[in-house]
Amino acid sequence: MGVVLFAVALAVAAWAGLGVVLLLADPVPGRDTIGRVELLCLTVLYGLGVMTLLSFAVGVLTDVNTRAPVTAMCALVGATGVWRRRELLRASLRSGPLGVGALASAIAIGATSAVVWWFARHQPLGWDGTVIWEFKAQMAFDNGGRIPPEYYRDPTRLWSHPSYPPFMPLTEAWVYGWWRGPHQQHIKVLFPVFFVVAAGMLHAGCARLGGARRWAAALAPVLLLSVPMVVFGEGGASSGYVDFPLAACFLAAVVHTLHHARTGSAQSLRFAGTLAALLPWMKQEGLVLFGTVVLMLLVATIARRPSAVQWRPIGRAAAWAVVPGVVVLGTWRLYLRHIDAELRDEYLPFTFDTLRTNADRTSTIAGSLWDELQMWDRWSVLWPMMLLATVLWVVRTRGVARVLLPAMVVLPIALDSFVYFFSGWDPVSRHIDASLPRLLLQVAPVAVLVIALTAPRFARPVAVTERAELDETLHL
Amino acid sequence: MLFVGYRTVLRQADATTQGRTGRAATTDNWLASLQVLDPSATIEAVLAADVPVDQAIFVIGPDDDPQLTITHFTISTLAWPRQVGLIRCRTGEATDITVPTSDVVGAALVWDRTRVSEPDAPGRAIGPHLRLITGTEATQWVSFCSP
Repeated sequence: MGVVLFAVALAVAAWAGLGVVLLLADPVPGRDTIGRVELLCLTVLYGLGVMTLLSFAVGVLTDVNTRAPVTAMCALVGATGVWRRRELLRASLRSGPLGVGALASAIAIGATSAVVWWFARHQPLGWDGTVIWEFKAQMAFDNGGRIPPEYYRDPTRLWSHPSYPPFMPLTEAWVYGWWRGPHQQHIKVLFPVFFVVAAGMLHAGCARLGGARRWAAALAPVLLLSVPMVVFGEGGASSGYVDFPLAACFLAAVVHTLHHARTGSAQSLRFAGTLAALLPWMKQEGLVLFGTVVLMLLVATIARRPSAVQWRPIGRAAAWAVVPGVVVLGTWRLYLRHIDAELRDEYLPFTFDTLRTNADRTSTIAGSLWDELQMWDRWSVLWPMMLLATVLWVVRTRGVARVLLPAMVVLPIALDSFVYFFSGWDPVSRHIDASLPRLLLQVAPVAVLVIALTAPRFARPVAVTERAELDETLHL
Repeated sequence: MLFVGYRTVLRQADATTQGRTGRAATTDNWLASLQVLDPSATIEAVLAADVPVDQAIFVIGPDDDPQLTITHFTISTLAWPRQVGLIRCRTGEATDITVPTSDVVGAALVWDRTRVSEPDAPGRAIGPHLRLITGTEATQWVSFCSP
């Protein structure tokens, strides 16, 4: 019965996600039509995003149990999207042949997800998974689907990071609501769902960006599974942490940012901007990933029109890239301020003086990063392979995408490392040891995408470039 | 990449053992040192029976025990909505105190896994290593650092 109720909880959220995806997509089916796998992945990501945002809003604005009104709103959003874009939905469901390639992809995604599910089933929730996320989920469940404001003002629970955004607690509380009770073991069934999303987005990203052979698109999820840190351990897809869901969402945003850079697709711009908006809603560190996506979208837009800069498309890109994220993040920050939340600042002031004072941390930070990248037990040979793939990518690819894709891996790592200069932890090495592996995990699926896109006869740079040039000519 | 990664994954799968299961699988795992059956449910029940929700509690334990932090956090997750302070003890003295801002601290959970509670010790024993001591505003909670 629990499995059925879990499926219902996920399906209600996903229905809302389907509506949002269809409303964001181009209304007329065409070359950009979203395929089945990608539709499924985006539906889950947007569904959980919308459901948690609605839960938060209903919880703040009313005193009622949030489950019934949120269910009604999810149903309405989904029905609106499906009704208004029913032709598009039909086209998406019919897209691509159901041949050997599709079967191989389905087997790859299913088999790799089963391994993650096995680990999730056999290991307890990790540290953050319990004391930061599941604890809040239990509170929300006990309090009608909302985290009580008193919690945010409780100075004895600062260790549970009250300022962290409530995406994961509200997702877990949503499932608990359907189950009619919390369950620390059963809730682990939720986390392999994000692995399915990441594996599916890798497949869809390869097909969308690489002009790939189907066998090669099927290989990408298998590569993802070969990164031990992804599969198990603190922060991994089976641990109950939010880092891997964040990584899955970032991967989806990167795929659409890159697609927008190559083709100028307005649809991909809308997807990239709104997916980026979910990143800081999932976790504080999502702000760095959000900033990376925004920057890359702006770079892509400007780079597509080097001769005569047109302000209108740049303005449109900036609006789609920045506004959704700022609205989401701003609302959360305003709420914390409104309820007078007790916040623990783990960072020193972000000033030049702090940077100068902590300049001696350079060797510690660089050394820790270097050591971490070589941790084969955690990463296998992901990072050396990523380096090799980056070289191939840069040599083979033309246009702004040449810089864009590697930058989506390197820039977040650089920014996250830079932030350690402002860490309030003493010694800073403790902070690095506790967080660096998970920060790298957030970009690991994108690193796998780089490798998959440069697999032999995988990327077809000439054809892609030609297509981009054709699009440019046609102002698509 | 596949070979190196999958070998590690397989090794980990071999090393994985099923811990406690059930509604409170993780918190029960972390409270295993209490040596109590269903520790999470037991602590919830004891607090519900003996400490009003508008009163705070202290967790009191030995500073040099690396399990103290996880025990404090876990009890804190179970004690909501009560505020949960912490008194770290060393050689009978309090070395660090996190004080709840609530008006009243109504009880303390005194934990020491190296010592078995004696029958005549104050408060109510919850298993061999944990005692619940109720008190008032006048109670000197730091005095429970002394054996």
